[in-house]
Amino acid sequence: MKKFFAILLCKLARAVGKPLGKGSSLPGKLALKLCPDILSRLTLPQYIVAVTGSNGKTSTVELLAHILTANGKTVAYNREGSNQIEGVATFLLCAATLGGKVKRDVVLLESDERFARHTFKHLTPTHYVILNLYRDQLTRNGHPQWMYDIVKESVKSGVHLILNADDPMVARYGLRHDGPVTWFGVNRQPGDFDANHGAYRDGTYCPECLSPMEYDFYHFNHIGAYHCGHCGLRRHDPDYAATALDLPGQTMTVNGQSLYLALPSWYHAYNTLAAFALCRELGLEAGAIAASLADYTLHSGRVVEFALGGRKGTLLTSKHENSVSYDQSIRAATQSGDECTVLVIVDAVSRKYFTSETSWLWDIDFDSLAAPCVREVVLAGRYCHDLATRFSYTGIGPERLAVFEDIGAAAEHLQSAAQGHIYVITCFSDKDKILSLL
Amino acid sequence: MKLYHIFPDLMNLYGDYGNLVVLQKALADAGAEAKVVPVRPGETPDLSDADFLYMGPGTEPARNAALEHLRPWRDALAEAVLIRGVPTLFTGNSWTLLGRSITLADGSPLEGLGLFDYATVETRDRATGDAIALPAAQALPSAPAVGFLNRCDRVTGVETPLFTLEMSKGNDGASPAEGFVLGNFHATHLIGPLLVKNPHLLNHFVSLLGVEPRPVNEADHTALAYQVTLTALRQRPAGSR
Repeated sequence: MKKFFAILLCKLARAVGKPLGKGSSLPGKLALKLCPDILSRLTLPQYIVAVTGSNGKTSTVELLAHILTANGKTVAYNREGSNQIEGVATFLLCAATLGGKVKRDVVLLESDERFARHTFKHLTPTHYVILNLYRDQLTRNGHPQWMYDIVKESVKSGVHLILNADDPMVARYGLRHDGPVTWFGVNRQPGDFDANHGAYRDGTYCPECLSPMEYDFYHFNHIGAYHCGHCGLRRHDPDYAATALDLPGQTMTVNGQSLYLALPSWYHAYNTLAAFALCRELGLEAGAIAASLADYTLHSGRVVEFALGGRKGTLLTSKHENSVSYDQSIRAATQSGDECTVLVIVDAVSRKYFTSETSWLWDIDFDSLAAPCVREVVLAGRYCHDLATRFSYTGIGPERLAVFEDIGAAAEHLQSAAQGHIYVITCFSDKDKILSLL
Repeated sequence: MKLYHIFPDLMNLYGDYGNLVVLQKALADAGAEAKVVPVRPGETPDLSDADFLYMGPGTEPARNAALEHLRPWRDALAEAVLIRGVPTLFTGNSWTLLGRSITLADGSPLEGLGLFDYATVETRDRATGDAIALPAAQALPSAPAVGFLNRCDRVTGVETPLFTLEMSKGNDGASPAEGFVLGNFHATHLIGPLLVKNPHLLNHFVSLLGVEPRPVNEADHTALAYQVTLTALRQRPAGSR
């Protein structure tokens, strides 16, 4: 009976709370209070797919939901992205009958790296996609090794792992795993590097045994083809290998199947590759997956096109405290070689918690903005002086820099002085501060 | 001058290489040529010509590996630090390996290099947070330092702390006493580019290297950035971490 009332309570709280903006995790929280083991008392579908990693969780879950739905599967997942246990309880109970049966073909869980170990106590995934582990949110996460250990607690024997072969930290989950492992990876591409060009070199030592590690190539940062001469950790041959990655053309080929990329970025390529691998493992046909990707548009607002002073601009949402995401945005801004002006905003380091920490600026390869196509770099926001200090140690001279504490003043400057395409690189926490002015 | 950067890739988290980059620049601005000399695991450097020693923070397994790589040249390090008094900065968890012992989170003990008498016990909890660090040692500049703590250990047995924290907890996880200083040896759990964030502290090290530093210009971006962070920390909203 408790189960029945908990589900009813959740559905009612959702109906009342949603219009008030309290519908994403409060209903689940109430249900868990009434019946703490409610999740383990549900009758769940055959497939429970969890997705974790530093970057790309939400996008990958959205992609998976799109592909599966387009192929006739019913899916329960958290559209609102509240990925702690209360959020998971909310969407699962709302998708359940009052008897506790979740009438869907697949449950998709976007799992926060730090909370997966707690969520999975009540809900055991059948498939677990691990996208990457980067330096990310140091103010909460400590460091990638610390996150590796925490995520490891959520990797249970028997679960079917879908792993990024190109990330050595992620590849460790496949070592000695008692259960099926499927690998995805991007094969060598023409634009790859022979040396790590980032501001730091996390792949220098094997994350498993701390011995020197060798790379055949780097896609970016520590992502590439690596092998450790001591313990044998190496890039596994991918079961799903992307070849002919054409970012400007927005396509790639995976195991002979051409796939459309909704965004011309490495990130999106990896998210699409992971989604393709998972859907193939669930039994979908390659051609059917490709067909459902062909009309896919991202809803997450990560890339926003705008106009300012008669010029076209693109906002590339990045993550503060996450140098790889910044490096990717810088690459996106400079890869065409077309004339451009770049605005970087750091105003609130986080929207979720207080911090004034800016060490991560030193992990970003801002030197890449010294490319001649970048006519000017504009630095703005409360932490513009931290940015200006960081930029004074790049190859970009003061004549190509402008610094504004006030974001409005930066926008005015761009309106009159920008050359070429305008790229704005900033975080979720700060992007509306500029978009509201445009 | 030679600035030794010990294990730059092994012991490296969150831009701490910036400490050497700005020190080298500040020395150059004051008319002194300095070279950053990286020391990699497996090398046994001759420290007799060292003007400055630096080691940054690492993951716990990396720190354990660094300890074993350092063990063969423990005596050369002890001579440079304790006898010749080479100006030295160890940040994050790197200074734990110079103490008496480290007890890992699983209870297993590691013998430290024993240059100093403190002992470290690691925990399964990580403490992260911004910090305002007031100078606890006479020689330090009077301006408070700002920075970030990111640690999973308790250090006991420090009698001469470097800082007194106004925000976050110190060495033993309870009191505000943070870091360690003895002569020209400086250790702190503050991580990242500490000398970038704190221009006064940067000049302290320039002076220790026997060079008259250029005074901090309050209109420079570095000084303004310092003020922005100090103000943000002082005005931190009640109830936030």
